[in-house]
Amino acid sequence: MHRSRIMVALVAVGLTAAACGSSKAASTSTPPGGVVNKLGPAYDTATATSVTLDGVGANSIDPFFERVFYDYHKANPKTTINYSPAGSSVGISDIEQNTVAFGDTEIPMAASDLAKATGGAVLQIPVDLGGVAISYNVPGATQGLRLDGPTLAGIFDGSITKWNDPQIASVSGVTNLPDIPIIPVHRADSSGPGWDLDDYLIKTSSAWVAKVGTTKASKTWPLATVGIGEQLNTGVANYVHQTPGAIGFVEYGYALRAGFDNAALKNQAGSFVTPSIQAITADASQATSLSSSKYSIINEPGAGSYPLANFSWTLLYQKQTDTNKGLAIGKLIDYVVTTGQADAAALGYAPLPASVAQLAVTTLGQLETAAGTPLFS
Amino acid sequence: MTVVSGHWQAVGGVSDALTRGRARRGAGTYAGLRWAGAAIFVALLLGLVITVAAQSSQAFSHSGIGFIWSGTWNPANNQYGAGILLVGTAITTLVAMAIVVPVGLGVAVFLSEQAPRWIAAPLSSAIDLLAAVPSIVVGLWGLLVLTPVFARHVEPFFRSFPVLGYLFHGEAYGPSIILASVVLAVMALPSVVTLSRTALSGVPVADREAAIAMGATGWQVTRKAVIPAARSGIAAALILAVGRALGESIAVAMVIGNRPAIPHSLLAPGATLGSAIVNQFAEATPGLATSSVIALGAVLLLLTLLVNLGGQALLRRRSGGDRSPAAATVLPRGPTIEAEAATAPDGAIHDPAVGRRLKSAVREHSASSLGRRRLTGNLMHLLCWLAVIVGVAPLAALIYYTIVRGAGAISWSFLTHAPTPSGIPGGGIAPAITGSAKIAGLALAMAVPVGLLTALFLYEQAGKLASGIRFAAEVMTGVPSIIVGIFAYAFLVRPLHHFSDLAASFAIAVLMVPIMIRANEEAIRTVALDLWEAGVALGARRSRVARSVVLRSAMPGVLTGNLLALARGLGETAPLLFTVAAPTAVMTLLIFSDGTQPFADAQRAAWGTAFVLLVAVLLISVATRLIAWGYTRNAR
Repeated sequence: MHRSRIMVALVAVGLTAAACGSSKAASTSTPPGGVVNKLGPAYDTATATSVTLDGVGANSIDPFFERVFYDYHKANPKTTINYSPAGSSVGISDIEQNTVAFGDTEIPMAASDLAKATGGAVLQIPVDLGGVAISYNVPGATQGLRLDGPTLAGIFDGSITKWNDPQIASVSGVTNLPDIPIIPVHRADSSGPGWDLDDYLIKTSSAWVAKVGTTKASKTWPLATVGIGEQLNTGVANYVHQTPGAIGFVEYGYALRAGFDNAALKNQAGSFVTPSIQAITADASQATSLSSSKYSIINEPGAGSYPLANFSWTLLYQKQTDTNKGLAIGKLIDYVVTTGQADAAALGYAPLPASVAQLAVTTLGQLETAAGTPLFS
Repeated sequence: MTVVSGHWQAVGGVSDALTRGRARRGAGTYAGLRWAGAAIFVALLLGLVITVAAQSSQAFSHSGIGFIWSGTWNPANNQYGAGILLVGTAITTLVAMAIVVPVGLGVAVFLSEQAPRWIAAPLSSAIDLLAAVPSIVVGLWGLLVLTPVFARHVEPFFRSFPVLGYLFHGEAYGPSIILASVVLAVMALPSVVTLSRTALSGVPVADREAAIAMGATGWQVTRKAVIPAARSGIAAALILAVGRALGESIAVAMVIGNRPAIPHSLLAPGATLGSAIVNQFAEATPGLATSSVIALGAVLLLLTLLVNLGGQALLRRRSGGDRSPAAATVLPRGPTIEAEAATAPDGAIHDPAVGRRLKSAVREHSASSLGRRRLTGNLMHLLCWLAVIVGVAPLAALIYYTIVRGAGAISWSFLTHAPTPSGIPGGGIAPAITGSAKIAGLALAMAVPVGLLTALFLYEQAGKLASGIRFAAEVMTGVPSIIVGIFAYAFLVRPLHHFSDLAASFAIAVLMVPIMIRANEEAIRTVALDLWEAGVALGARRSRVARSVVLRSAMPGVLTGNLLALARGLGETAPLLFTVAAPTAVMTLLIFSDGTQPFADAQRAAWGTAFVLLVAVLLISVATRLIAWGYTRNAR
C-alpha cells in the first residue's frame, strides 16, 4: 500500500516533468521511457568529497556497467567506481558479507540469502534488461539455426552428439549441417545465464527434468559432466569463438559484440525467435508485476518474445552507514536506471521498460542514513 | 680465498666497534627481534592453518572424513566430495611430471655436462630467467595459442598412434587433461632445469676426474659420479615442481575444460582441486557450499604437506641434520666435509659411496664393453639434445608470442591511460601497473623484516624449535597461493568490510615470507663459520656479529633471494581474486580477465599487459644477477 502510493506520486511528478519538457536541473531529467529522476536533495558532485564505490557481481552486465560507469565518472570525476564482474553469486555473497558498496546479480537474492545479510535490509533494484544467446560455431552453417527446448536439452545432456543429427535437421530446417561433433559449453562457475537456460529447459523438456532430477532451476550448471566448462561469459564466448563445433550460452551483449551466430529459440507461442533488443523487450513486456521475488521472465507468451531474457539486479543496503557514500551510490544507480539506459541498446541490452525504471527509482528512494532518515527526500 | 678478504674487512668492522665501546645496549633487542620475527612467521602459519581448518569444518562434519574420497562434486545438487578432483589433480600432476622429469633432467645434464660453453652459458642464463615467468602468462599462452593448436593438430595426432592412442581416445576438444598437464610442465620446467643444473654443476671436479681416471666414458661419469652426488638437489627441484603442479589453480582452470568426472582419456576435460576452487569460490558466504570449497583447499593443503613431508624425509636420509652455528661448532658440516672427504688431497677416495659407484664403473670397464658403453653414451647424448629441443621449443614459443603479440599493443597511451569501456578506443593499463607496483611494494615492506629476522633466528638458534620452523618454511613455500587468498579474505577482507590493497599485499607477503626465509638462511649459511666465530671470539655481541659480519657478507644472497620473492609476488594471480576490488587494478588479474575474452582488443590488451609484466619480472631477475655479480667482483 505504502509503496503503491509513492509510485503514484512519482508517476504524477513524471507526467508533470514530461509535460514541461526536459529540465536541466540536477535532480530532474527525462530518461527514456518517461520516468522522472526523483532523487534529491541535489547532490552536487562537483563540491562533494571524493568517493570510491567498489562493486562486485554479475559478469553479464559488465559491458553495460563498464560504459555507464565510465560516462558517469567523466561527468562526475569525484565519484570513482570499481566494478569486478566476478559473477552473480559473488555479488550476493559480498553484499551479505558487507565487503562492497554494491552488488549485482542476475537472479535476485532469495529470502534465505537476505537472511544472511550482515548489514540489515537489502534493496534490490532492476538495472538492466538482457538476454542469453545460444551461440554456435558451425562451419558452413550459413542458414540460421532454429532450436527448441527438447533439442537443446539433447545437446546439453549429451544425447545428441553430431551436428548432422536428424533431430537438429528436422527442428532447424537446416539439412546440410556437417558431420562433426557437437561440443556443448557451459559455465564452470555459477551464473545467471545458466539459471536462465536451465529454467527454459525445465519448462520445455521433460527429458531434461528427468535428467537433472528437479524442476527448480540452478545457478550452478546441473550437468557439468557433459561438454566443456568455462569461466564467465567471456570464457564460454572465447571457447565458442575458437572452436568449430562448439555451442554455448552467453549474455546477448557478448554474443553481439563477438559477432556470433545465434540460434532462434522456440518460444511459448511456438514461434522461433532470434535474440534482439526488440525480441527481448517483447518478452519482458509480458511481465506485468515484476518484483525481486517474482523476477523470472523466461519463456513468456507472445509471438515475438525471445524466451531467454532477464533483468539484472543491483544490491544495496537500505541503511548507508556512510552518508556521503550513500548519496553517491544513490545518485549513481539513479543515473544507471534512467539516463544511462541510453547506452544500453548499442551494447546489446534492452532499455528498461518504464514501469521497471519506476520500480527502480522508487526502491532507491528507500535508501536511509545510519540514523534511519531518508537519504533522498 | 678472494672472498675472504671482504670478510676480514667485516671482522675489522667488529673490532673497530669493540674499541669504540663495549656498552651492552641492545643486547636483548636483537634476541627480541629475532624471536618476534619467528613468532610472526609462526602466527601467520597457524593463522592460515586455523582459518582453513575452521572454515572447512562444516563440510567435514556434514560429509565426514569421507569428503576426501567421496566421488561426486556437484554443487547444483549439494553433493560435495573431493575424490574426483583428487584424481584429476593426481593425473595432471603425474602427466606433467612425466614430461618434466626426462625433459628437465635431460636439459640440465646437457647444460651442465655436455654442452659447449658458448651454448651452455647463454642458454642456462635464459632458462634461469624464465623460472620467474608468472604462471598467468603461461596460462594466457595455453588458452589463446595452445588450445586451438591442440584441438586441431596435437590431440588428433596423439590419437592416431596405434597403441598409445588408447590413452588419447575420444573427442579432441582442446581443453583437456593433456593440455593442462603440458601447461603445468611448461610452467615447472625452467625452475627444474635451473635447480638441477645448479646441483649437477656443484659436484666437485675431482669426482669427475676420479671417474674419468678409472676409464669411465662421458656418460658414465655423468651417471655414476655426477647424478648420484647431485641427487638431493635434483630431488628438491622435483619436489618443488610437484608442489607447484598440485597447487596451480587459475592457469589450469583456463585450459582443463572444468569437467568434474573421472577422465576416461587424456583428451577428456577434467577438473582439479585448484581449478574447482577458482570456479566455485563464488559464494563466500558462510554455509555448506563455501565450506566445501574451502575443504577442497584443506585437502590440497594436506596433499602438499604429504608431498613435502615425503620429499623432506627422502632428502634427510641423505644429508646431515642441524646446521645452526651452535651445533656446527661441534658437528662437521654436511656437504663440504663430505666433498672434502671424497676428494682428499692425496686423491684417495675416502667416501665409501663414491668408491662403490666408481668400482661398479670399473667392473663394467673390465668387460670388453667399450663399444657398447660408447653407444649408450652417444644415445644418451642424443636424448639430451632431444630433451633440449622438446624443452626449449615451448619456452621459446611462449616468449615469442608474448613479445610479438604484446609489444604490438604497447604505446605511450597504453601505459599511461586508464582502461576504456568496449567500443571507446585509447584505453590503457595504467591503474594495473601502479596497482601491481603498489601491492608488490607494500608486500615487500611487510615481508622483508619477517623473512630476515626469522632467518637470523634459524641461524642463531639450535634445536627442535628451529628445525621445526625451518621445516614449516620449506613446506609453506609449497602452499598453493589460492589457499593464501582464502586466508587473506577471511582475515582482512571480511572483518574490514572491503577489498583493499592492504589485504592483497598481505596475501602476497604471506607467500613471499617463506621464500625469503629459505633464501636468507641459505645466504647466511654460506658465510664461513670461522668468521662468525672470529667475531664472537673478539667479544662482539651477537647482534653486532650478525649485522657487521654475517649480514654484510651474506648481502648479495639476501638481496637476490628477496628480489626473487618480489618477482614471484608481482606475478601472483590467485590470491588477488579474493582481495582486489577490480580486475583492472592489477596486471595479473587484468591478463586473466582480458585474456579470456573473445574480442581482439581485449586479447591485445592482455598480451600487452603480459609483456609489461614479463619485462618487469625479467628486469628484477636481471637486477638480482647483476647484484650478485657485482658483489663477487667487488670481493675480488
